[in-house]
Amino acid sequence: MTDHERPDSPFGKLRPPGPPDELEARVLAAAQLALAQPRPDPWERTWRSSWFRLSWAAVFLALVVGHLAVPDGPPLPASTPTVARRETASIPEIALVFVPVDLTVASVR
Amino acid sequence: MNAERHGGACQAAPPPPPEPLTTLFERLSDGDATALSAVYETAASEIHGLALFRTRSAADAADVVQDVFVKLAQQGAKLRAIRNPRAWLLTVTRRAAIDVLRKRSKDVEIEEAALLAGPGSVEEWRADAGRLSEALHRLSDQQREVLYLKHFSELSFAEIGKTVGVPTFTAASRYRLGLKRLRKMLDADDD
Repeated sequence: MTDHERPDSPFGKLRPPGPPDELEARVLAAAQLALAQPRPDPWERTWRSSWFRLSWAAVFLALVVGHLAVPDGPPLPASTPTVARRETASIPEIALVFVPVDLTVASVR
Repeated sequence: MNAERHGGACQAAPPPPPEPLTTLFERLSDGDATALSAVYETAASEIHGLALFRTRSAADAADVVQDVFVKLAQQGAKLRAIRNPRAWLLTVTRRAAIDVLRKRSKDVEIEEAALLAGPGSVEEWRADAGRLSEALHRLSDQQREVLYLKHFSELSFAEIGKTVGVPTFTAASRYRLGLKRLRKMLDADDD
């Protein structure tokens, strides 16, 4: 005895009506069409997925908004050259001393 | 054929038992389109019943049955991994019915279908079926679907919980509350 035939069941021998006869042809035609269609590979399905597109657009928008909305930070302190660098930068020029050279014959001798 | 040869002494062999859904799902996963009609023979009645109880409309229930079979055909090799095809079909039916309900405009009045029918054309059954259908229409969608799964699909509360996506306790509670409301409505009608 099944549940719906138990004496305490309100349904007795009543059951939901079956599907209409004409439904079978319609359902099987639609299902066979779906079966015949080639299934796209996972990458293509992902690319076609509206969720994927939506999340891609959301990330892009978030980056643009973040770029525009986040204020610039405090200005960086002006660079102060260290003592060593200052000394390096201020090396005195080498004083070139020209020694006169006597190129006469007497001096050669 | 053998019966004719033996002078009709032998009775015709009983029809072979229907193929289990697991086998049919395997055939479908191999692309065997003939398995679709065998699945329809085996499962359409139950799918349609659940869809009818969830949507309360004959047209919507027919759409749900179609959606379920299209989804089934689109699964391909994944069908092999389904351990309990009946539970899978019921779960997909429920989701498809919810989708149909979401799409249905709230302003449009649905044509309430008869949710129950008697075993024959006896007038007494018809009256009972009408009275009970009317009471069932007044229950919540969740209570109605649990009543269907318990009484007509004969699932345990644990199985109902898995199908509906709620804990076993919640499934049992929905069932009891639904049955209680139904009895109350029927008693009020009797008075």
